[in-house]
Amino acid sequence: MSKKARVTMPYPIGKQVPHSDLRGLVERVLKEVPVEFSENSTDLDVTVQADDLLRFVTGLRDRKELAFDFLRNISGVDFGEEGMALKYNFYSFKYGHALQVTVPLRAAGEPHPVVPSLDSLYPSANWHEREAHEMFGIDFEGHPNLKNLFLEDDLHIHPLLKSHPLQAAEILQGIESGPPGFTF
Amino acid sequence: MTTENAVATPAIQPYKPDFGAEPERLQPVDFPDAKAAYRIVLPGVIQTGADTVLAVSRKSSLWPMTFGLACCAIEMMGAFMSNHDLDRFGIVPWASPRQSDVMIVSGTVTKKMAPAVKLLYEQMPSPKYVISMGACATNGGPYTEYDRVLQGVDKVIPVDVYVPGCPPRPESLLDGMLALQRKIMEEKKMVG
Amino acid sequence: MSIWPEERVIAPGEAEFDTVDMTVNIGPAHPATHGVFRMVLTVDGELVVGCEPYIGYLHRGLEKLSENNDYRQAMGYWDRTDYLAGMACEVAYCMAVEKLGGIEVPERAEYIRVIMAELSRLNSHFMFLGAFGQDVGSFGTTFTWAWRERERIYDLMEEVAGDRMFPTYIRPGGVSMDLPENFEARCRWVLESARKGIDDFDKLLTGNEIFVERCRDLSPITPERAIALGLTGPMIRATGLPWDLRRAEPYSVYPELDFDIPVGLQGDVFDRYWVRLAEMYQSVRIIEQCLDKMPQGLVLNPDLPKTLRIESGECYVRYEGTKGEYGVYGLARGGNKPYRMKLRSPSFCNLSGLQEMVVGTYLADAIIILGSLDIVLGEVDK
Repeated sequence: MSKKARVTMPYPIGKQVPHSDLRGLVERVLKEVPVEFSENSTDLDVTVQADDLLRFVTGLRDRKELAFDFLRNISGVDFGEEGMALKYNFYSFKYGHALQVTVPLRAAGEPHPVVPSLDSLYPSANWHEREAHEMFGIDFEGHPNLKNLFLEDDLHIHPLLKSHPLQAAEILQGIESGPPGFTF
Repeated sequence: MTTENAVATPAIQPYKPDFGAEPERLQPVDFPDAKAAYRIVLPGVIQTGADTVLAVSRKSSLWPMTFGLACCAIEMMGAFMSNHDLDRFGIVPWASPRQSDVMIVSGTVTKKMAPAVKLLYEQMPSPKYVISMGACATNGGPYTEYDRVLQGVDKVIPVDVYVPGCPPRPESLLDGMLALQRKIMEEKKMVG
Repeated sequence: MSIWPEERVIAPGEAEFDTVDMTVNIGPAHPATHGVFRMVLTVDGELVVGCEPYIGYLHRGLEKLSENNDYRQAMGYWDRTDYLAGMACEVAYCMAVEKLGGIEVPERAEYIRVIMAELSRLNSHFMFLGAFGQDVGSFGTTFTWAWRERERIYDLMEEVAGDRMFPTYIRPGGVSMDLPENFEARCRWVLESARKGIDDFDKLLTGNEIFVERCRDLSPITPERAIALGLTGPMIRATGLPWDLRRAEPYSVYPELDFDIPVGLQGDVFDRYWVRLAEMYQSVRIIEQCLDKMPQGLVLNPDLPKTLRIESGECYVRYEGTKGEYGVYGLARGGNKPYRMKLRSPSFCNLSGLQEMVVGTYLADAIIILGSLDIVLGEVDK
């Protein structure tokens, strides 16, 4: 058994950081990046443009007052003709605060909207970005391996777009219309 | 020549064959135990038709290839375990397709997985049966509307028994296995 | 000259011996009971030098189908994600819907939810112990023992909720029905049996020389690397970091319950097993406290309309699932269907670190590392 000391959590566990404090902190530390703040039911949300994303996220990770070292989740959202968005959720193990970053993108279609990849900063982003690329058709530049994850390798459809249809459930299997004299 | 010249030759005797003494007639044999002779000479021997023997041996030792895909696999494992024991029916889960008799497709078959299902079915030697367990393997189940889901495993392999449920209780799977056993006994006179 | 043939043979050095790396496909259908997961390993003899995981053989469209179904109907897809712990996922999804719609949950319902979630956690960890023991070598003993306890918990769930695995008992706004009258006696009996079951596993595996030799010092991870890779749940607690969402970002009635967080020392396979075993004792403790503290009252919010319509809302609810951080990102934009519901699944994120953990170990060890991740493919493939 190794004699490594046990790691302890430095912040008081369970104490939630109020959103206004976190907003002030982000505004003060990363004042050079133009962002907009909003709040949702669980987190503070920051809207960043795709061009500023890499600078902003590097600041989130490297500035010691913020110390967001954990990228939890990357979700894509398709708003149809109004465009798309990518939602990143961050967490800090050092301070216990959580942040959501929204990146608005243009609507789905060819050519794909382009976002810088966070794989160089957070290895956990690797598979999340592959999933977002496959489901929504968002290109991540700088990603080492942007292949399909859930679908077959040669299939280039984007199932989670609102324009992608569902297939019809078969009511009578293999029979297009019922036998004569019978209506469903 | 006169009619007195009727020659007093003796008439030809009609032929009377000589059968000898009449043989003893066969009487019904009265065995006190009513057992066939071979059962007295060789006790422990049963005589039936060959098709019944083959059908009984096939149904009594069905080795399923556990093809557990999703949630139904958990209920299938529950059916194999001690609480709802399937081993008492001779059903032993066997992972290899080359040595198994029945393939229990339990779980959603996606279009990405369908070639593997077909390959595994073709790797099984005859006689082979397929039980489609759960709603997803029957017709796509709750996920039928998503376009990457195969609407029923019977689109790629022929199915013998469908077990409904989401997931079916282990007793339902047991009922499905017994139905398969009845089906095997019914088709015993079919060639091949 | 030695009499032993192996000492007489002169082994050629590395430079003179031509070797070829072999590709081993651990295919989508395999007896290791981990579901339809495919791994292509490049091996040099027995040493793994490359690993390429392929997932998606169970991609059933959870998120797409949730967008096309009512809030209550969509729950039927969410509890089939972690199919080893049915009701835990239902609690997570209902918490997300409640956050979106601002729905309150009565306190008795919260306690019932915690009991059901912790019973599901016991279920899932028993399955882990059974399957992991089978992977390491006890061919069927651990699996049968695990199922003995799981069947008892399933019977209890059936008495309470109606179905063994996916009862859709947890609803947005509470629980659908109250508990039966003999629930407390039955639950305490099941807990006592579960305690004895966990003790059985402890006595069989923890001190077992073969088990320890196989698992100790196999793919250790530091806490910093675990955070960077996105590992959560027992994986990160095994590295030594006492991070549990029930304590770090608490929800429901967990602040009023008293339980410990077991941690490991170096994040290797043995620690991951040990953390899960110790967590099971804590789950039993939590359920006993809930049985003592449960108040009387309603179990479902009475003001809920027949059709749940939510005008607007966005949330990211993080829930301590059985395998890690089960996150539900929800977005509502009017109507009775959610606009976007994304699952941040713990098994998906734990699995993304598999490549790094497996390269450099032997082929047999790669299988038990995969087993120690405790993945469930319903979550991974959504």
